[in-house]
Amino acid sequence: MKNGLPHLGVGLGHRPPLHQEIIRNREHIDFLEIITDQHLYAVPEKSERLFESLKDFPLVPHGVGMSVGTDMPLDEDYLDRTARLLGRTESAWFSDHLSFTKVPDTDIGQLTPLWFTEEALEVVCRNVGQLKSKIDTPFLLENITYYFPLPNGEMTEAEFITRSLDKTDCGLLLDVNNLHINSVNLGYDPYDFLRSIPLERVVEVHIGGGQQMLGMLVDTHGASVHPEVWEILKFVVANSPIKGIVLERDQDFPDFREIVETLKTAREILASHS
Amino acid sequence: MSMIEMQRLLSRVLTDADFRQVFVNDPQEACGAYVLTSKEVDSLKAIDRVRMESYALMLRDGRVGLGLKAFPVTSRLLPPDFHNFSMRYVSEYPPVPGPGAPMVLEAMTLYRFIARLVAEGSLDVPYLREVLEYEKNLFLIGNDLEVAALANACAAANACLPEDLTEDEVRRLKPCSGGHVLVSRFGLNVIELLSHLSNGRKPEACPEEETYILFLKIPHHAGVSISRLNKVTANLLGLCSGERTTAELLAELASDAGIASDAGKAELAVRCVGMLKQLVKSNIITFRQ
Repeated sequence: MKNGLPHLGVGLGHRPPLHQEIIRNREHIDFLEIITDQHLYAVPEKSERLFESLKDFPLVPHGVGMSVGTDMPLDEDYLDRTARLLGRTESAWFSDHLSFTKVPDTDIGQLTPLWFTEEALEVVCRNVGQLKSKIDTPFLLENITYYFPLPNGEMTEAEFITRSLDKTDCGLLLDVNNLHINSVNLGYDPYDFLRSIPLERVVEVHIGGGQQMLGMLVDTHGASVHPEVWEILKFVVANSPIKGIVLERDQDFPDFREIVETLKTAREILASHS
Repeated sequence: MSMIEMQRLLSRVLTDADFRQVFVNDPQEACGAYVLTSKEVDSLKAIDRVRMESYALMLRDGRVGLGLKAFPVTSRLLPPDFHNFSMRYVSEYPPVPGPGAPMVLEAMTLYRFIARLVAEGSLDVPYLREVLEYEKNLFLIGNDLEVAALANACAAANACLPEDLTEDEVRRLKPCSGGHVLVSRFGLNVIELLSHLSNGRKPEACPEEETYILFLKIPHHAGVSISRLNKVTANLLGLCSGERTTAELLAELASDAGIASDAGKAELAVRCVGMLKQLVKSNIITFRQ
């Protein structure tokens, strides 16, 4: 699946408050990840103005609303709009999460864990199959942060991810910050996890920072990258020829020089194994 | 296969505080409303309750945070304990899936909630009502897909109109505004107020001043045009429903103003037709047959 995908380098999640600095610091950013859902129902002129201003950057859409884990068919209108967006951005790949965010009567609004069962696996495969029947662009599944597992599943998360990727032939967007957060909150060794998943399927890696709140480490995307996350990234890069790393920062924005330094560190790690 | 039932129950537990309490107190009772296997029930019963509650709080705060992104100045006016209303918000406005951008949907829902709190006196903050209304209009006009389509449709219709309509021709046509335009009446100079607030200054007192603000989605453009209207133009715009001819509107205006003479009516017609043509030129209204 990774064959033929371009090496994009080190990128940044595009967020409106960072827009001007992103343009000013073009030379430090290889590509941008945009939030799919912000553009599917956006006033076309707004999206077009944004894309025009970002024409120097390869763009990769990253969604939160696909909800591949919900036991119902994917929203066809959502798929159509995603396909149109991909047509406009001509992206090398796009991604969403291995989770569910909605059911017919409730929109949870956030990425919620699946129960790691054969039935859930079947649902994910069916839904990704529906997606692939509509959209040719390579699709990546991302591992999520979750603060409570659904107990008594039929397999581990690592096995669920492995089998999902294998059956759907999707690439993996490995969020190493999510892995770090889960390993802290749920008490396991992140490296055992990494050894249990097909690292050769990792196309893109997310890095970011979390914060302590409500008695646990929370994926806020509002802090610097934790030292342990850097170490996990080094392990991944040493074991898989990944195509891109994206820094996610959603709030409590630091001076942009800090962001540039973070991208530089990521680039050095990537280069050390290229 | 009852996975969707399990997901429906979990979704409700996470987003409905009352139902979550039922689930915590008596999970068997909560599960009873859903068709679940015994394994699914056992799994749900074994969820870490503390972590589940924490996640539910994050979801609640996340909804409010998402909605407030649309109202930056309003956010600064809200009292520090506004989060105390969050539970009421998610209870009275459960997160129902709908078509459209998530932020637009949540922002409009939150607007209705805050407006209600202000109206019932639960939120008594100076200028909050005016600032919220202004920001809601600005956000809605700038971000709603249907509004954008209506603006483009108005421009397309106007492009088909003859260049220089005579007064007689305008009299026969029906002036029509649309959903791409919002006119709000404020009891104070809200533009000046927002200028102060946006710069971190809170004015001591804002004198009463009837102000009409026009929010217009610019066709084929990302932006919103904001302008201050005089009362006459605002009233005229309010009559442009697309159902009556200009002649009929002029008759009503003359009657309301007590203008009986032909000369008076003729002068009114010249002024109003001129204004209507200007509104067409600005794509605020169009003329229908």
